[in-house]
Amino acid sequence: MNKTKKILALALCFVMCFCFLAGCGGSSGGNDTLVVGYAPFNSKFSQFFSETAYDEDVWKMTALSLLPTDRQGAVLLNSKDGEVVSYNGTDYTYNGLANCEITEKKDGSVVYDFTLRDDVKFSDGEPVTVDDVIFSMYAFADPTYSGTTTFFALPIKGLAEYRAGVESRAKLILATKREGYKENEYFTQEQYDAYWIAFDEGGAAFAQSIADYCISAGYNEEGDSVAKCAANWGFTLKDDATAADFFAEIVKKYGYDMAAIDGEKASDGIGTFIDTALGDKADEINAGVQTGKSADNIEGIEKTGDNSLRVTLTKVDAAAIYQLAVYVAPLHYYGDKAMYDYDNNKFGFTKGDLSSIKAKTTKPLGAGPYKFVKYESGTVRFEANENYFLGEPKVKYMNFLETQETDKLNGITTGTIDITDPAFSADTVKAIQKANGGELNGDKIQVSTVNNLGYGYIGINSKNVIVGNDRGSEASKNLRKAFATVFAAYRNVAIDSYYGEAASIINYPISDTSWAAPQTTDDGYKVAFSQDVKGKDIYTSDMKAEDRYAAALKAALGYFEAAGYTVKDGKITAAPKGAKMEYEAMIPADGTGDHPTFMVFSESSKALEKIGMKLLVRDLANGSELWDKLEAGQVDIWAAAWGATPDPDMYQVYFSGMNGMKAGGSNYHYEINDMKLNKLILDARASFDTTYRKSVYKACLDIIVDWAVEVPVYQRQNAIVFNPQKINMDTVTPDITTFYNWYSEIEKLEMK
Amino acid sequence: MRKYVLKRVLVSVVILFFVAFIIYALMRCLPTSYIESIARQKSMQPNSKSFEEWMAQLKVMYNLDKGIIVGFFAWIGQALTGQFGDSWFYTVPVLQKFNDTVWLSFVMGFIAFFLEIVIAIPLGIIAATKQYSRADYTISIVALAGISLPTFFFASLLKLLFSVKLGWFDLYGLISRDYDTMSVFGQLMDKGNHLVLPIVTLVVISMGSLMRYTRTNMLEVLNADFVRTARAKGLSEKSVIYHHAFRNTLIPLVTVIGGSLPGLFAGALITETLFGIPGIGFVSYHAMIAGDIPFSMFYLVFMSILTLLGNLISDILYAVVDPRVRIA
Amino acid sequence: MAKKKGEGYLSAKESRRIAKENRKITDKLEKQHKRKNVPEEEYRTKMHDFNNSLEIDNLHTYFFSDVGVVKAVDGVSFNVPLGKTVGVVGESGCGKSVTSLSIMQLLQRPQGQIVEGEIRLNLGKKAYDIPKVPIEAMQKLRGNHISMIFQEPMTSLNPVFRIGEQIEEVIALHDGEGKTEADMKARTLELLEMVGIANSEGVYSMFPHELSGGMRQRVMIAIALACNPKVIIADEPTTALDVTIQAQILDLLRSLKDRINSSIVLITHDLGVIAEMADFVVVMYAGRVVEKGTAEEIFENPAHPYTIGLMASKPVVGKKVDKLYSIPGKVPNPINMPNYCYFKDRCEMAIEPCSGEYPCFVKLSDTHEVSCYRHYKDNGGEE
Repeated sequence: MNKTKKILALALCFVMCFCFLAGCGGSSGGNDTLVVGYAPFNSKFSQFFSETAYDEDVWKMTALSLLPTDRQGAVLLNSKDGEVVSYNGTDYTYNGLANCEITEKKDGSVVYDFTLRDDVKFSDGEPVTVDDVIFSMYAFADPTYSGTTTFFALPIKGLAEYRAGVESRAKLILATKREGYKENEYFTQEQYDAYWIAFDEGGAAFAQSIADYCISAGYNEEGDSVAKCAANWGFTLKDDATAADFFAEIVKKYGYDMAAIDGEKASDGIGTFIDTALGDKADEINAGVQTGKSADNIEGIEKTGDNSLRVTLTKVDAAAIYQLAVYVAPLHYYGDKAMYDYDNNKFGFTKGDLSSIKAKTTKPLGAGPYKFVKYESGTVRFEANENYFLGEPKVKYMNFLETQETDKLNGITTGTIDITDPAFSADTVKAIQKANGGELNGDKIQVSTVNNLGYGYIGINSKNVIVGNDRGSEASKNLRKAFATVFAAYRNVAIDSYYGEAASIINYPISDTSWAAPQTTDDGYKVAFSQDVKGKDIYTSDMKAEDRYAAALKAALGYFEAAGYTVKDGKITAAPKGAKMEYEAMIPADGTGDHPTFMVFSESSKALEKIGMKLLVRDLANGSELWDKLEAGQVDIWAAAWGATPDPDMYQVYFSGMNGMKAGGSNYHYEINDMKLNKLILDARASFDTTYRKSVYKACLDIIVDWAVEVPVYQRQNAIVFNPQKINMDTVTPDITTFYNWYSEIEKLEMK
Repeated sequence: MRKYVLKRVLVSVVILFFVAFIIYALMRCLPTSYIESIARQKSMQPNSKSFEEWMAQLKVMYNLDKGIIVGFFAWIGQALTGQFGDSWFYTVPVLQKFNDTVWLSFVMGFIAFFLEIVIAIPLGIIAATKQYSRADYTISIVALAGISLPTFFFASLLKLLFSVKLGWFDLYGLISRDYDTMSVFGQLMDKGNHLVLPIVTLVVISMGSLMRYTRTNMLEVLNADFVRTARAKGLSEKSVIYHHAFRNTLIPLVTVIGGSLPGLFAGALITETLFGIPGIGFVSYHAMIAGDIPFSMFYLVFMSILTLLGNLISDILYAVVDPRVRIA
Repeated sequence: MAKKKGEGYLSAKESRRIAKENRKITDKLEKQHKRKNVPEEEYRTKMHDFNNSLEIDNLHTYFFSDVGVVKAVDGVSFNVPLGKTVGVVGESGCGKSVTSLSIMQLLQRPQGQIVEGEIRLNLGKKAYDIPKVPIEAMQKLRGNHISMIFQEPMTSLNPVFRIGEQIEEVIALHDGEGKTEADMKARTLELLEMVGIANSEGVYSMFPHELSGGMRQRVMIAIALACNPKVIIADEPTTALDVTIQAQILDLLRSLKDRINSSIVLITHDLGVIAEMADFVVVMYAGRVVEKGTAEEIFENPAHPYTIGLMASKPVVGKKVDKLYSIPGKVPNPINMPNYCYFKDRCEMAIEPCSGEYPCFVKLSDTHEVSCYRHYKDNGGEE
């Protein structure tokens, strides 16, 4: 090699070394930026339009919600001036933007009165007012809103009318002012007549209630006539006037204006009385019909003061508060202040045109602890909000860095990131212990584990795994229970090997994070599918694993027999009509068996083979194939996981579409068809009493388990990992839970 | 020459049209389209509309309710006016996202390309001129190792060694945490620092093949008669190799290099993913698996244009460099 | 059942042994060869006869290949007088080209090495011993004092450079001092005209692929002549050309010969060409010279059975034969050469002494020598 080439090679080496050195200075140092390892973002950083959990976390950093949530997932109603709630033996104070008073009315409607603080500002200095809240709500309620939030599905009074030119029949009939029936597309002559009959009847009862009230309140004495009572109410009647006459007077005074008439009410409104009079027809008459004209405002949302507003819901919905406590979006940023005029039904944007909000999707702004600076080079940059109402955050800058799962732990140890959330499996645990030199919580890495909001399960579709035609028959249930019993027996070994300590077995189809989840110490707590067809427990506490499997298999055989299968020599030989000798289980395990429940299926398949039932295990490399097939109703048995909501409402998944009622959106998974369950679900929804709800939900869970459409498998834990060498661990949110995360008190976090 | 180029360009336009159509049709036929995943997600929310209703609404919103051919022509109509729409996956306009990410990949690719040439070609020549010597064997082994190493393996190895064990570099990412507080020069150095390992990966992986290619061609040329003539003229060995022989080796090399220019914009998907560099490879991969049609269409059509251009450049360069080839 | 080992099969151990031995020898020679700044005294020598342009004396050129040592040229000696043409004849594989390459030191290194012998080049005031000349100095000789015309005109020119450039290169390299570009161009054009290319200006700026085989060969000749070398080696210059062009090239060479006063070593297997061009003839067989003499002597009185056989194999116009005569047998294996006369196995006229050692040279006249037992005086000489 001649001289010039040698020199060239050396020069190249120098160039590369220089590059190394050039960067050496920049990487470490800098105590005022916190770096959090996240996953790729879709840039939909808007409370209105975000779709992934990661985008959500980004805008949540910049936003403030009306009401805070405590460590157990409950919405706090009195935190305006600080509310103290005890958790795990410690009293914690929560500070929120507003207070909320919930009042249940006799007519079934619920009123939410919000009172805001007057000293909170957005990060650009503009004050947070009730106008911003109203603006946010109208944005969510807009007919063209296409985001994932389902605010618009809340039973807010007047919302349907605002959204879709929907008017209730009753209103339309009332609007005719009793001038006679004219042929139209909204109601029939029959309905028209029925309404007015009920109107009169209800009206009379309404008037009577006024009279009764006068007596009970002491304005009149017992036995006084209607006229006398009416006199005390401001109406002059003939002495022998009846309640109906009284009512006629009222109508004369106000016309056919329900709201005005209600001004006279003593107890319930006129609407309630009419509904009572309508009886069975109430639903039909009150049903909404499309008229094409929509209302200009939402009746149920009213500004009641400079710092307060009132939202009225037409029925009790325990979960509604989660949706009502919106994250307040600034009117001046997402909308147009000039277009806001509450009294004239202008709410900051043109109804039906959310373009001004959409335009800001990638750049959120709010009253939260941090300001969004930019999203560039795979990093979201935040700057502390000096106007934050709980004080400017101690850490001036924060970066959310897009990170690959495999890099998360190494990122912490090399100092590239300070906080992250790796998937918590047995391997992760080992890796953390290795980095720390033996323990899970050490000098290099600190771990905080919370239960995942959701759980893993095995689903059995009741329409496909069925005997004959009736999915709710005992035979069908027994068939499913046969499978369920075998699956349940192998849960322990499968989850142990996949998750190790990082997950636990659950026995009811509900996440352990929910307050409604049955605890092992509760009465009536049973291990799932641990009984045979006669109701006897099949496991004893001294059984070894092999014995347990054998016991489960024996019980399964019993169930098969009860379902109608022919059993000979300990094997099933023939299936009853409608059932099969072979079923298929699908599991999205990447084609490599990489799924916590995979072992359950493979072992169960082998076991079932012994008694003559064939269970084909299909490993889908493409996960979305499972969902396609589920939608098409082509799946027998499958494994998946549910994400849960803080409220344990079961409508979505278990409410069956029967008797004209619409099924829950995800009911097609299990195809449960149980009237009793439906009723229980509705009951639980309609109450605010958590004790009552918990007992109702327990009853629901028992029914669901009895249907054997779901075998609850595992509740896993999520981990948040910190670098204690960069972060002052004393300043991290104490007692992190599923609902109260490390960033819930981000303003207090300090770096070393 | 001008007529040739013109003819090629016209043919390329026709090819491009069909390529775009095929791409569009394929994207439309994906098993799980973008809106399906959204509809599924949204329908699982409590109180939400059903899956079918969401699908119907989204189909209209995203222009997927038309058939493939109509949809394609709609896209073409928009594209010709420069409107490529908003990326479904990334929310921002396609051109904007593309612009943000492609230059990064281009710079990375260009530097890697340059280093690759500067290292591989001289080494290839040395290996050829000193055939069967120790230098030749070393170079060949290094080249083979480079070709055989899978990108992900080598990248992970570099990360393990330089980041985890030695701590010289950040594990991944394009900028450090203090990026915004640095001076302009500091920011440049910071980005450079983060690009060192990815570029090293790219260079090592791809220089092997270029080295071997150079070596093979050089050997072939060195055995040619005219090299003997050149020696017979009394020219110095240096002149024989670098003037006479190399000039002939340059012919296939230049065509290979010219043809790989489009690759500079393609981005190195695996490297970018492993090092957390938000370049076009990474961004386009995620867009494609999500079924984001506007972005994928634009990107793939762009790549097709570059490929066709690359072929054309290759052919032209071939004629420029080799006097035996004359374009009609 | 063991497979019968084919001829030429080498076991791994043998091959390793051969490779090791080869490497030892070649490394030593290569090192010697690659030295820089060798003082001139090392390779200066004296011509034995100042009328000779080139004296090849007991040249041994071996190829150290993987199958063993190939003795391509195994003791070749002949002289090239000033201004004369020496034709080297022999069949393919006899070592003619290797001899010429040895003279130019253009052997394929590191396998090909001049192991023994001297090649004395007469440079007028001094003489060099070519095998000892290091590379640096050799490059000054090549193209300048000795030049070569190769066999394949089609591929001997660099396809990417123009003709003019390629010719000027040689001029600039050896004769370039004091010359301007215009001078060199003029000289190039002159050369082109000299070799019979009419359109010298046009050809000057053409690429080789635009010329025909004959024209390319002319260009090669022009390159060879450019610096007025003392010795021109023409290695089968017309073999690749068709007969008419062949005639033209030969005419050209003949006319140049008269003009330029260089010696020409003409290597060919075509006896007709020899007859036309050569003053002296050297017949080679299996790496050795078997007969040398003037053209007349060789053609009129071929002495060696091989030469006789060659002459007999020439098809003659007008003579009708049933079968063309060809020498039976084949050339011995270059790796394991026998230690008796190489031609013995094919010789129709072999006599008893032929099985002994390899025969020495016998002088039949001042210029005619033959290496054959039949012409030993003691044998009485049979014709």
